[in-house]
Amino acid sequence: MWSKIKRSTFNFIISVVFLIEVFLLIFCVSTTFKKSDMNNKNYDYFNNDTIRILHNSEYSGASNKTMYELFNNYSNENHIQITCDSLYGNDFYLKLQADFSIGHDPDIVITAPGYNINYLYDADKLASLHKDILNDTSWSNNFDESILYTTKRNNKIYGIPMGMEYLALYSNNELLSKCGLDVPQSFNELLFACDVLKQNGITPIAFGALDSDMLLYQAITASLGGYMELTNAIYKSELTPPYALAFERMQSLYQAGAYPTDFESIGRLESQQMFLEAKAAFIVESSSFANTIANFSTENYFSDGKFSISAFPTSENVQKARNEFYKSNLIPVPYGVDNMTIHVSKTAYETKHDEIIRLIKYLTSKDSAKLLTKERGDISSVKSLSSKTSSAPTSNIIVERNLFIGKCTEITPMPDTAIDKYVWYSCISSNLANIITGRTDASDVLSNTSALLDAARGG
Amino acid sequence: MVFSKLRPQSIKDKIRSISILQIILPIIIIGILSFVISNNIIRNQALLRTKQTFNYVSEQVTAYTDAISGNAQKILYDRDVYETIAFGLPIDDKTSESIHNLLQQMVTSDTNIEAVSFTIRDENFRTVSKKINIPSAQSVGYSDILKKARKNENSVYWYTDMDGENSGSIYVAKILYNPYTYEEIGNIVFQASGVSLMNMIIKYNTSSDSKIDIISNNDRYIYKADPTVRDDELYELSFNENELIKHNNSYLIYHTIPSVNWRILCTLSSRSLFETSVWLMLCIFLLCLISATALVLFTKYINNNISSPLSELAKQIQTWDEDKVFRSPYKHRKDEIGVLYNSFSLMTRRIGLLIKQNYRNKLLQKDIELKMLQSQITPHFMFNALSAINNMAILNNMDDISKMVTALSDTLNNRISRNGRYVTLNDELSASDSYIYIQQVRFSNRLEIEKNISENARNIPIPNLTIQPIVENAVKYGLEATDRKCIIKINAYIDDDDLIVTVSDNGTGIEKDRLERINTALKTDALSIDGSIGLVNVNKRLMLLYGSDYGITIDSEPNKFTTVTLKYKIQDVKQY
Repeated sequence: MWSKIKRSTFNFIISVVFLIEVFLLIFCVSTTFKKSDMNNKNYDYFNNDTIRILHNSEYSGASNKTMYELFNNYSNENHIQITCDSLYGNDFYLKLQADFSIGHDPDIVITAPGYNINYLYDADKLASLHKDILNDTSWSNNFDESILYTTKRNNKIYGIPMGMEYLALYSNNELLSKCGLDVPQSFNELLFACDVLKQNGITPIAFGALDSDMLLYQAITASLGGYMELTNAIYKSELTPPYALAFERMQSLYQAGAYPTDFESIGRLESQQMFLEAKAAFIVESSSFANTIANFSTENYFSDGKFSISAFPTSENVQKARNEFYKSNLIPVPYGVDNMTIHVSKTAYETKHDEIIRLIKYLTSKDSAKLLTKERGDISSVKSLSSKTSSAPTSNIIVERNLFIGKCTEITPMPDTAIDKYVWYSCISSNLANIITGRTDASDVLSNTSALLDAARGG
Repeated sequence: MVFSKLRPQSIKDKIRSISILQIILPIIIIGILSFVISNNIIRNQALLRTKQTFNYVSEQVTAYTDAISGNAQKILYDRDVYETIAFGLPIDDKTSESIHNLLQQMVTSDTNIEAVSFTIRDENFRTVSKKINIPSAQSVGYSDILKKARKNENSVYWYTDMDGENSGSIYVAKILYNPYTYEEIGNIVFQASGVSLMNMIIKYNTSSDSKIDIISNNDRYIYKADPTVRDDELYELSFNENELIKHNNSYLIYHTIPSVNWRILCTLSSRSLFETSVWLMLCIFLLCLISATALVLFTKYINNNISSPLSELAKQIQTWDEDKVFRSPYKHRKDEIGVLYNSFSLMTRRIGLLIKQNYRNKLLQKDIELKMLQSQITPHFMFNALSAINNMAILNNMDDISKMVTALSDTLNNRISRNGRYVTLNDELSASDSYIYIQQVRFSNRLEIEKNISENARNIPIPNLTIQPIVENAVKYGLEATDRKCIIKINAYIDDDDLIVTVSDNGTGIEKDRLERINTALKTDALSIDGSIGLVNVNKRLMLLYGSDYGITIDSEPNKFTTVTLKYKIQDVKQY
């Protein structure tokens, strides 16, 4: 056989084999040296890229499990250690403020933007992510632009939101119709409905004073204030009138017997359960609650018309005045990015920029957002998952929610974002039951709040 | 260029040169590459191992320092303290008590903490562990430490007055800021014992091959593995972090713990680092040596089997011309060398035979020429004399004498004057006729000739003087040796491509043994048979002209007959 191969062919084959061998040798040698390179990541045992996250967890901890799952996955894939402190309410804000004040800055802060975050940003403790997100169009295109721009300060994006929420009044139509009632369109109608429902042995509003987020209070405040007043909620360290008026409305509802008898000892979870079990006719909840309802039962609520979602009704006088002012019938609905908004500390941005940005991109990727949205039921900031562009909802209550969002004529900031959250929790939230029941004067609480806000500003 | 230099060299030298190239060169390359790569790998493996140690030590140190500095946060996590700091509330008794309790709790719960100093708005709270006596705040220069903390990122500064053994403390100072205005509002300084840290590090210093030292950011030994080393000895070194450098008989490498800016210094003994390397080098060297030896043996084998036989062959070819002797020590080999030797051996034998044959032929030719010269000594005299005799015989009407002289003259003329090598069969027979006439006259018609010649054979060219000597022999043994009438029969005919001429006599014949000997001699190179040159000469000429299949064969029976058969090859001869 060999004799049949031409000499030129043989020479060619030998030359090719020789060249291949030389290339293989060069490759092996270069690989050996490359592997031994001290800068090679595989050998870098000094990779101190531990990312410390301070996470404002949900009242129910609904997102925690998914968040930790995402952190673990990322940590394993990228050999980066991630530590996460998940705290709720006042504990979170105490740690946030204390850590920054003593030089123990977390790398990433995941919480809703607002007073405290603005303060940290203004004090140059948080970094602007404007360049990072705008320079990477494939990343920025991933977001619903209108949502992304809600975290702007001084014309710079400083937080990456992962979800949005609206506050709405959820009504159980079945219970209302049983009492011959419709969904109330004004505060007076709500008071009347509460009275009727009470007489029929039904708890009108599922509300617990231990809910430190005070969604009912926030919804009432927003319904009285509107966009203008809530955007400038503090004037000379004092809260604008809607905050004080909202206490009066809360008291009116209390007097109308709108709350459960044990409202002082129950929190948000118990309130939700009461509504879900049709023991109360109304509840003020965030838009993600629609998902909780959808997951609670396989029954098709919407086709039965069992629940409806609407803006919290304001008083006819206030609405009339607003209509005259705006020359339009605008119904305010509190709206804002939720606690799942990512902020980066300045020190981490300077020392661990690439690692931090890579992690944020991972958390805001479509796959991660899908997981979080499914768990939390939020309106995702990711374009393809947001209510505007998402595919067909899995439940009719989600359709109802999306219709409600579409009908919102005026959106206002969440009332709690205007105030230092530590003050919110320690002054307002902790005194809510006392104010409602009249044990504490609301004006004293508001004075204390103003004093603390003033002191915080060095006044 | 290398190949052009190799070209004129012998095969042996070429094989040697190529062997050197293909053995030594790869071995050198393999040796160098193996040395460099393995050295690099071992060095980096050692580095890696060191780095792992660094990592563990770094984790331990970080855990230690985090635990101490983490206490600072604990104070602020207290709501009373936080509100005092954040909202500028006055430090009331409740807050003071809270602060005292917190500081006391830290000192008692954390065995490392020896003292805590907490200052808020110029009001200082200080708690000292009762377990030990420690220097006062002023003696260690808190104000200097705090100054450095203010300048540092995150407003934290670590300081130590340890001596690398058992005395001294570790200090960490933190500046507190208002969480809203970020104006300095106080500070906290922890004084901690480094004993537990040292105990942790000792675990990594059990091996004699590597030692771990910890040097603080203010260039003090927190832990010194070798107390005999001067404090300033290592500080003089300036080299990059994570870079392995040689220092005396050791290798040094350090890593900085980012949270505290302390350096972990690792000292590796050269012996331990390259011990493995030396063995590996030795293995590689031995491997190269074994490979080289094996390849040298292999080359030697190739030399013995190929180049040496070829050299021997070349040598024998050169000397064969002189001594004509060719020895074939490799004739039993079955490979190409064996074939080459056997072929060459056969070829030289044949050449030898041909040379020998040629030499004999030359001798024979010379002999014939000599004889011919001898017979031509006085041809003109002889012919003139015979011509005069013939003229006298004719003048005197002596026809018999005239015929006789004419026949004699023809016979002599045939023998002497025929210069050409070939004559027709007819001419050759005519020449024989003159001789026979003379013999018939001489023996008074006791000689009888019978001819049977094919007509188509008459003009076939044959070498001259090839039949007459045979006829002479027949006369000699058939007529002269007996008294009876001699009958000589000459037959000529064509047999395929050959002309066969037989000359028979009824003379004394030849004994069987002698006949065999004569026939055998005719097939060999014998120069004469029983003194008879003519027969041999004719035979040799025929064999030389036509090949060994041609020539003379003799058949005979004593006292009955002798038949000499001449075998000619019929061929076209241009010139007679």
